[in-house]
Amino acid sequence: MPAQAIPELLDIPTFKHLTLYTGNVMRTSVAGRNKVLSKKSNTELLNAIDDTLYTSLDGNEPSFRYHEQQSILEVPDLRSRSRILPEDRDDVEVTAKLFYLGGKQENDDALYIRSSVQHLQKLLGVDTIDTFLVSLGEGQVSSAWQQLETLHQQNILSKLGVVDFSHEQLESILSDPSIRVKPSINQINVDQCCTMPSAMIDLAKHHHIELLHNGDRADILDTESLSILLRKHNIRATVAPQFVIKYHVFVKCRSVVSDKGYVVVGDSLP
Amino acid sequence: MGLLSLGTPLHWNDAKQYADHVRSHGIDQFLSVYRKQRSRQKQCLLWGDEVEYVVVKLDKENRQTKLSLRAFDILATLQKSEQDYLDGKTTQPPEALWRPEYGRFMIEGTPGQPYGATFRDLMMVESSMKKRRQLACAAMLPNEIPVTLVNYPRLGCPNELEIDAEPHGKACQSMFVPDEVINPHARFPTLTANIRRRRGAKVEINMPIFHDKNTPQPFIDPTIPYDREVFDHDKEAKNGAAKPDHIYMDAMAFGMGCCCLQITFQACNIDEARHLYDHLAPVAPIMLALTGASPIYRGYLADVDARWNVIAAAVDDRTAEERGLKPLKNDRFVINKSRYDSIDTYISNNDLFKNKYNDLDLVYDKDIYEKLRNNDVDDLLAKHMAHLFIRDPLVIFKELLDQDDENSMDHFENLQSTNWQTVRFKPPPPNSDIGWRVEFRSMEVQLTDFENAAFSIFIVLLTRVILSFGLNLYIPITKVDENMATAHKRGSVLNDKFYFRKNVFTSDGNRQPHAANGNGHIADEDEFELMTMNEIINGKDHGFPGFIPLIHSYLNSTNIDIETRCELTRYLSLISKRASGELMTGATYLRHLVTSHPQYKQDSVVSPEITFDLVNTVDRIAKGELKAPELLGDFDA
Repeated sequence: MPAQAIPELLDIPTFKHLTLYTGNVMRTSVAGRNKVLSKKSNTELLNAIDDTLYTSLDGNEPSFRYHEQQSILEVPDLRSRSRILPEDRDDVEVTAKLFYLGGKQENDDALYIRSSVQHLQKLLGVDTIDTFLVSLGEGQVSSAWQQLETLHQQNILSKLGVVDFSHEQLESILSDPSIRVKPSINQINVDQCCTMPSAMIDLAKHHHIELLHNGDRADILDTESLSILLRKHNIRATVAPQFVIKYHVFVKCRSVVSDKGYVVVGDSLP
Repeated sequence: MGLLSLGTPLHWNDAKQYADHVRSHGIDQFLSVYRKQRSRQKQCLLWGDEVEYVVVKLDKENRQTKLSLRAFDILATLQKSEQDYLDGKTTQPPEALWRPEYGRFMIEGTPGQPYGATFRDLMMVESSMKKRRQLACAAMLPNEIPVTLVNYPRLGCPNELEIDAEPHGKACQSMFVPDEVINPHARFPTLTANIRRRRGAKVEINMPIFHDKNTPQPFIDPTIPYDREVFDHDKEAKNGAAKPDHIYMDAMAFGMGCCCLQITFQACNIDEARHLYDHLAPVAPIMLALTGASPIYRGYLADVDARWNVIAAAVDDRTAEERGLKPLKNDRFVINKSRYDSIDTYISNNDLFKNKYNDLDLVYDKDIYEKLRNNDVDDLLAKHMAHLFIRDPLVIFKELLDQDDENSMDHFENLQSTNWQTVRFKPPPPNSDIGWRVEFRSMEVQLTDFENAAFSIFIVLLTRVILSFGLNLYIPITKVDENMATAHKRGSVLNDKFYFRKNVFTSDGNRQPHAANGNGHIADEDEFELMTMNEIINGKDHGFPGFIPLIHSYLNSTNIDIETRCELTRYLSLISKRASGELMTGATYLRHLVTSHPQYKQDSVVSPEITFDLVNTVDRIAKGELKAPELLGDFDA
């Protein structure tokens, strides 16, 4: 068996923007490798990025696309096709969670929401997304939420949800008159089952809000982790993640997770 | 225990001439269903559990227990709500369905409706089981209780039955149990007698005795009436059937009188059913070991923790020729296993399957195989059916010999339901919406409904994990069989290792970083290794992640709410702690109850006094009246 070949430097053009698709992590064992049970983690995403870069770039036939005009490097994972067949669309529930990570521009969050919806529509071959969750920082709710409401009115998004909202934050958004479409989901992390947040549970029950389990760190990806992974696979670049979309496809009447993955969008730093 | 048809069952001498008739029509019936249902798609997950109970008369005043033979009357009461519903007397569907089992001291309960696919459905299991226990209790006399013990510890000992009877029954011809222990429906005594007639001898069950400090070495059982001369078969015990250092049993009742926990679930199509059948087969011995709760037989502590081999021997109708003890003259095949045993062949035609996993020399009926192949059944499925159909039908009802093969499955079920395997592939019944199903059959019933619910939920979630991650659990069939043997050993959960596939993830292919070992050699992706129960259930650091972590990972990939997630974590935690040894298995706990009893003489004898305290204790634990920290930790029953 030959010694591990030293990968040659790929002929990757300098890029301004990076889009990376992990493909179905359920089928590549990445999702199965997590041993962390209830604490918040980002190991799955890091493993998935590593796995995708390895499969797409380290082999004999590297697969990536470079869109010259906008200087976008796209790293697709071609191992599994994620498109949902039209005849199967009603059988599944598509869930997306947007992690807003970078950008200080005022309308970035709305832009990222529109962009993530488009990415998923293309990737999964769907027009609509059943559940859309946003993981935002403080004070960013307004413009992001307006965008979500617009998409909800256009019947592109059905259920809208927030992530890690405290009791106060939830009460606030529920009583805010400028918010017309209320969140029907708050995704939170409960570390110990013996200390369930009873006030939150009561509030949620009263307003018919589902409290779903959140296993993700809000800061799911940072510049350093992403850049270390890129360099490990011989891409000499420092990339700051702008947002990450985590999605999964759930076959309702069989409770099977048929697809789960991430889309990472980032900007190259000079 | 198979479907209960009505009519006159034939004596073996008359039945055997119709064997080919039943087999041939049984195959035609299968083909009819196969043709009509093989393209059925997109069926939803529906599933159910079956819990079996023994009925015990508990006399607290005299500190005595007797096995109650009133199941027939108790069932009549229990089935009333189902009967009323079917008769249109009420629109309220029954909360539970009740069925008779082999023993006249046994009842079986299933949920009134199948559970659905959601996580909320999983939350209904424990309350359904608790409700069944309540209903069963209410249908019994004040001093009778339903107990989820795998077996009544002193079945086969004198004066243990209510009402008592001498072991002089013609069906069993046993030295220990009378025919009165058998369900009176014609099917069961006929089955019992025909097994014996076909075999040419009584069934021979020998389980190694647990040698304690004062147990005689060698142990020659003084309770066996070696010199009895009631039946010709009585000589068998002294002529070698009763082995030294073993607990000898000679009747079907010792096996089929055991209680188990079975799960049946519907697959989305035939291919998924075949796929799940295959991947659950290697899981069967693991779960047998983990649920092991039967360390006592005929009043003695055994050196085994599980019941499977007892039942295998209890219905072993193979003749001496078929067992390879005499050259083949009258019989067609030498058959390696009893008709009750683990599967002999994988059946899925999915990409993950490789021929080398079927490494047992499969015995099958070549003519039936050809007929199936000529009717567009693929090789693996044809071999599976042709293997099941090497057996003779044991109970044939004269009135039901002629059937409409397009609308009946009776002849098919005759053979299908008397091949009792670790997993069962179940075709749809004719003229029904019910689809292709798989039955998981190796688990032993647990003492409490909390545990039974936990294990049921664990299996269902495991099937979702297998499908969601595309897990590959294949190991050679012979290794699954070795695991079955290991699963019986006393304390195997803590002391032994089981064969398990090294790499269960299918799409990794030749991914180096996780497949290579120290010197850079890429491991054979089919390799298997010996792993402890803890490693299989809870995971290894650099290797198999473990069933429980995989289930958690799957749950974290869904939109599960926090309350349901916490409830499920509770059940998964029980399984986890049984595997790690933090909590005792049922068998270990029962052993502990015996050996720590003040009247135990360290001679392996489980006396009537010890039995009273054991049964009373487990009943109180199941009712939540008594804590059992070694068994349940902080969990409530």
